[in-house]
Amino acid sequence: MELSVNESRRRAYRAAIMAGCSPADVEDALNDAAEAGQALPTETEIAEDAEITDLDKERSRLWWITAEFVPDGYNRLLYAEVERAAA
Amino acid sequence: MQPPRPPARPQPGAAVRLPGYSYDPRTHAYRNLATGRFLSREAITDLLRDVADGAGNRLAALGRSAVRGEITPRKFYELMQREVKYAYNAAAALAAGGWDRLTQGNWGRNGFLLKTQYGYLRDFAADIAAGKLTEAQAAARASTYGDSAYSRYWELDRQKQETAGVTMARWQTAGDDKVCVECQALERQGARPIRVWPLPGQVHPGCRCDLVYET
Repeated sequence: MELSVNESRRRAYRAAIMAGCSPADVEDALNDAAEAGQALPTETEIAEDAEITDLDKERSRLWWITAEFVPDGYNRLLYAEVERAAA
Repeated sequence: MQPPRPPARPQPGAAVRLPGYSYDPRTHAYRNLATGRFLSREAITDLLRDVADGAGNRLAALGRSAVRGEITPRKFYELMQREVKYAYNAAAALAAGGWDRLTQGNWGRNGFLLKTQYGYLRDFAADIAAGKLTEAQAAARASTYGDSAYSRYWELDRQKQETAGVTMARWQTAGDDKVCVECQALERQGARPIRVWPLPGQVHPGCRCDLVYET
């Protein structure tokens, strides 16, 4: 089961404090991690994203098949991901 | 895990995976193995346009979601970059005559072009984060990435034709009442050297034109 963001933070907080960290340090670390997850990509990340791996090639093939034969199917996959991200 | 097999019906796009179709590198045409007939270039480019339009619609929806705050700008970038990569790769495979005909150079060129597009995409995400775009503006801007994938097909196709010794081409519009003035003017120019033409997909968003090669 996937934990909510708040529940994840609460558990991480409790574990870190039990391990001897100060609450302020834990808060800073959690905020840094959240900001890193939302930051726009760096030049290095963009270069890595632009690399085409064997997995990308397979996914591109699947993308083509679903886009051509099951267009709504691909839409559903993508929008489900949007909904998960929005939740 | 292997991707699922497509339904066994004679669709031109199946040629990209090759079952039921063969590609003739001499004529640059797909042949239906069941009937022995070549598929018209129009059938291939129509199919590509349909898929590029579908991608454009999905990208536009992502743009709207990002402006509404349903996804973060970072998530927007990640979903967009993935979709654009798949569209570029599929367009190149169709132009090359199948996935197994794409060379290391083709893949490398895709990676180079994608890196440029991703830079634009990051700026796009930054504009969304700064609240500079309306939903409509973001949707329109996002859909142009589908056009850029469409132009990747034409870039590789033109390169292939030049290698085969073709030097002239003419611009061909869809010929309906939705054709823009700019593309009508290009069509009136008749046959000209291949290199002078822009790539379909680059003239304006939603361009549906073809290049018709002449020997």
